[in-house]
Amino acid sequence: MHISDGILPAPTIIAGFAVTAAWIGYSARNLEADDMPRIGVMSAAFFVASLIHFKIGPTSAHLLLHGLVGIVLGSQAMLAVLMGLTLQALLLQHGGISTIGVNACIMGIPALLVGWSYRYLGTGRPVRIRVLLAAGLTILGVILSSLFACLSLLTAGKDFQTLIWLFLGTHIPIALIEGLVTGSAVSFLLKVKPEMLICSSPEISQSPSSSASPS
Amino acid sequence: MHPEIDRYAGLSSPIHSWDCGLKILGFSLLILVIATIDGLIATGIAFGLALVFLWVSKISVGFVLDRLKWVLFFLIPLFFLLPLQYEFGSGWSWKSENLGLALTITLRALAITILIFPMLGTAPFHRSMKSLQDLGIPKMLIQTFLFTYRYLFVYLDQLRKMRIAMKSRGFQPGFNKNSFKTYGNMVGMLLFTSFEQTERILNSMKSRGYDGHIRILYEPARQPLDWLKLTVLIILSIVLALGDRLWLT
Repeated sequence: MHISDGILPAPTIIAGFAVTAAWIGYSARNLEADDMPRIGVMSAAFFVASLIHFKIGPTSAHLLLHGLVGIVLGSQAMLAVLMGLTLQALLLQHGGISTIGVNACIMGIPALLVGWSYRYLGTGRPVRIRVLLAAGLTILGVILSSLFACLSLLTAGKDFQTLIWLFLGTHIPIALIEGLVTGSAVSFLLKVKPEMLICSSPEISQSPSSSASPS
Repeated sequence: MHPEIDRYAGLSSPIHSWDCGLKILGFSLLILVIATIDGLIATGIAFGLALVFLWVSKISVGFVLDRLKWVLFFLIPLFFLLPLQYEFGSGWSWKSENLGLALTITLRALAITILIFPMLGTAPFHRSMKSLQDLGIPKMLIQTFLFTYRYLFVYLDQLRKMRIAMKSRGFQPGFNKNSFKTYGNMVGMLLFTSFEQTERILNSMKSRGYDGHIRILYEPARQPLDWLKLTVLIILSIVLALGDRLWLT
């Protein structure tokens, strides 16, 4: 889900940086020092996801995990996505350095939407419903990211149409896989450390030993 | 696998000895200019320039080539996908002129990627971050970036151990529901163990006086030569940008 260097025109690159900087500036107002390790953990997880490959027919794809980042971090998801993408570009040369802003929008905006929807729809719901919500919202998040990527490719010219169709086609199975993986990860975290997620389980938050609180 | 970028930071070259902040400024400007040029000739010159900077920095070409494999993995298909066009009504057609566009994109991407190595691979990572802090990048961003970089290696080690554990229990990755559920549990476990560990890391850092500000024991003052090197990069960037728009189209 990365747009490489060299493909996009200057206005798209500048717009990507502007939107990302505006959101980071806005969300950083509420950021506290103790939030940073949490964001660091999720950024690193987002980075490592790109190294977990699986086969789809003759080709292979890797995990994205931006839906999970949104579900864990909520409004700070964009910052984690930005950090993860920057490190992927600098350390693995995966993605692009000039397209970090655009890629942060492609992955970060759906991550924010997944996080907000999960919080809005999932608060107070049973665990099973929340796992299904996490999986379903992540599938929609991946599809939305693909659409954003295609929109940004469209700004590069109509010669990219074959690439756009291929991009959309290959991301439908990836969306389903991502939904399944995120659903399983959320199910696991709801059992072992529900306070990591942006809205905690009602059953567990009643437990006196848990520090979880509905947010 | 440890994808550290500063493996060759201990070498000695005119780029290694350049003030880190000015170096990042200069190369960032050049990268931005290269990202915006359109012509094949200007892009070719930019690619040549990137190779010259890599040669001057003395960073191993093999190391860089190994890192370029991801970039090429995404770019080589463009030589097929860009000329192959579909028109409603007339079907598929082959536009050979788009091969030039694919070559321009490839050279531009390679030039930008190669320049990352002289920019960030010629100084220890913490020194580059300190320079970004001095350049006015918000402290909060630098701290989060450093935390991410620190946890990355913890994660990579944990991922390697978990893969061995899964393999030793007979896990065969495949395209099926069980495999993806296992991956989901693996991601959940990675997050769970790292989250607890990071809280301990932060507390131990705070107890040793960490306040989010990067300090370096020895910081050499900027010399006239550092500014001269920056001027060279600015001139190169301006000539490349103007050349692409005025002469090389």
